[in-house]
Amino acid sequence: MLGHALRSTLISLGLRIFFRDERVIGREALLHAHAQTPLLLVANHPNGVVDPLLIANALPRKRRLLFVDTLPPGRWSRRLLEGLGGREGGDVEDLARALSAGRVVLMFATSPTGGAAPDLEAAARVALTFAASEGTSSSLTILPVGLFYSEPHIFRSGSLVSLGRSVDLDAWRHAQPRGHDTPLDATVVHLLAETLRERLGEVMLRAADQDEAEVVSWAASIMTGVERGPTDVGALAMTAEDRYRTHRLLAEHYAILRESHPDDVGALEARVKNHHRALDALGVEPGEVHVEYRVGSNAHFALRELELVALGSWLAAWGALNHVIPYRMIGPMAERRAASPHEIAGWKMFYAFMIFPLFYLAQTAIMAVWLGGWASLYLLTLPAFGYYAMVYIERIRSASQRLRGFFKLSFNPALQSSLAKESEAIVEEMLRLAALVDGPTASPKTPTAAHDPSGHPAGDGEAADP
Amino acid sequence: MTAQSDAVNRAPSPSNELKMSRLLLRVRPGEYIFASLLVVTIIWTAIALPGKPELSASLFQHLGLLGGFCLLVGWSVVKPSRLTRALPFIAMVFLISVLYTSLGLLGFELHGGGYDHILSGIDTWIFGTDPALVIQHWTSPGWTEFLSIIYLFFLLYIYLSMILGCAAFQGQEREAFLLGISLNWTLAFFGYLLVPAGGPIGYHADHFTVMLEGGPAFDQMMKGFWDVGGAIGAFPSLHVGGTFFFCAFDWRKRPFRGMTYTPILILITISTVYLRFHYIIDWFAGIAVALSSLWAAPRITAWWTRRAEAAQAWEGR
Repeated sequence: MLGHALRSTLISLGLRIFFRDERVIGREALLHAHAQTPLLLVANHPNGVVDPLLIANALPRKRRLLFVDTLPPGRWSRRLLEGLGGREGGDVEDLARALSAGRVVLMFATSPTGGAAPDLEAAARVALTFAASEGTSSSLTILPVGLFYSEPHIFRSGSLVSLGRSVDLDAWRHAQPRGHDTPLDATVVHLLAETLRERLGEVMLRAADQDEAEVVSWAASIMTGVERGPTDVGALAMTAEDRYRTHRLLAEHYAILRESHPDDVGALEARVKNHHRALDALGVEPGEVHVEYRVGSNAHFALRELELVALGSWLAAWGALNHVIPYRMIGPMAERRAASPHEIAGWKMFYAFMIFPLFYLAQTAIMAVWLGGWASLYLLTLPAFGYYAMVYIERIRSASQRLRGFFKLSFNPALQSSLAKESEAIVEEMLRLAALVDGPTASPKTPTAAHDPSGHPAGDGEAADP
Repeated sequence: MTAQSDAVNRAPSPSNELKMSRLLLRVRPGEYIFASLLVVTIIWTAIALPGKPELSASLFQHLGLLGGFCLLVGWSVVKPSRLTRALPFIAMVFLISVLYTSLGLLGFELHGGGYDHILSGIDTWIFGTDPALVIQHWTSPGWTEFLSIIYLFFLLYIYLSMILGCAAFQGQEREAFLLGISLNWTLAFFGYLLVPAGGPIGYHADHFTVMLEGGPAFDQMMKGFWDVGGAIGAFPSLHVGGTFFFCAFDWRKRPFRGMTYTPILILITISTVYLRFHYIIDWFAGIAVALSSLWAAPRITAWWTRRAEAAQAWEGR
């Protein structure tokens, strides 16, 4: 139990370092998970390293996770993931037994390398095997989990765990036509897999290819900027949740419109790409074209950032100096191990957890020669200074971006105005096309029937089941 | 329609009591708290005056400060605008520096002396010896100069925090921030009145065997120290309490700024004992004052806002 608590604390700490912004939406779906109710999670798998950790962290502390994944070949990394609950290609019977024993079982429906459609047959088989073994007393909840990263290729991205509408297996089986309620019948497995696919589809972002994913992501950034409207230079931060909600609504409409209005969608795509190119050439972010550069807010921003840059520099320099060697070491190791560019940052964190403590001990031993017992104080401050250096660099990057926007746009109001107008025109066109799907009064901001006003899928309940 | 109009015409205009209660609700809780410090000071001085006629100057000084403060607050509630609403707070910032000296000295006069022997005794009881006397053996001109810069930096830190906090926080958050500052300083000033103390620099002046020597920052700091009244206002330590308040507030609302200032909080805390201005018990008192302010400010603000909204709703019936 102590081992589990320590593991949970380490995961939580690691994720806090790794992600700038970590959110869970639909947490109420996990309320019943506080008890020992059997719980099967099905999720998309955008990142082969951190996905299971994010989900484990979203669960109530007492619940232990077992996840099925392709584990890395390296001995230490494999052992570490196994220690965190990882299993390679779990046997259906074993997984059903784990559910009976009160473990939360997580199965991924997609692959981190992308491409294939979600595969939920295996999850359906595990659920139905569990139901067959438990008989009439079986009560299993299956929860779809959507994972999203705002900037998947970088360290300190935003992350979001979106918990969708759960499926109560008993209620689902009773709702099936007679003859289709026998567990492990191939048709039943298929039907359950289809239900899960639909539920998972509600919480994950899908794109036909990389090009589509990029265009929708750019369009979402433009839309978020326009929706927010005029803002101060110091108030431009966008959470992973903001991006996810807009991105998901756009992706839903995009998928329908691409079939029904290919010409309109093609023209809009070209416009979004052109606008993105124009902003990219200037080095300006979509939200920055709506910034109101007023003397008061500019002065506040400048004072705020200058203060932190000046005062934090010695802390950041000390943190960087003490971490530069191990940090340089883990970069190439992570690149070698990552299956896709999106995984590099995740592997960096993974190796950091293994290598940094060794360096800390070695550095402290060297310091002990001069400082004696005081070296233990040095050891205690090392992680804090390392974390500070990382956040400081992030802050400098963000401030430099705002500064670039300021120099490019505030001295050229005509350019800023034309870019803002183009953003607004693109969003207007998106809304016009969305109205073709939703009806004349609706817009992508209008929640659909399956979603509550916050844009999140409605809670389950047996009524929501077929 | 006509009946409704008649009813509106017949409705009595707000009574004077109602007008007054509406105005009183516009006064910020922090302004009441700060004014109450001045009122308590004045009453205490007035009671002590017959036996100590030399307190009359202090009595009139604080009466004048209270009068001026009340006028500004009154103006801000009768003619509310961005400028007039800001004025009482600006006045409080000005009063902080005036009251540090006036209350620091008044405490000694009201009690007929200080309580350094008790504070030093507590430190000695906890540590076996007075840390200020022990630390003198580790002093050096370089450290003294460095810690003097840090000690002086406190002033820049609090004013920067006030300016940036007022610009960054909005609505209830800003009100809680301003109230927290008022509470923090008011509680500390009550400490000066109730437990006057001058710190080791005065109490142990004859016991130190090592003189502190530094550079220009140290000289400037000592000049300022004697200019504002010398060895006064030690309990609680506002250097620790004020820095702790701003740092903890930032940790909750702007963690990166909180992180940046945490080492400076530690250095300021060390500097207060190293430079002989405070006992270690003053640190704890300062932190207790800051924690109380951090705890109470959002709660009082929320309660006050609910009260003001309820009064508005009642008037709108």
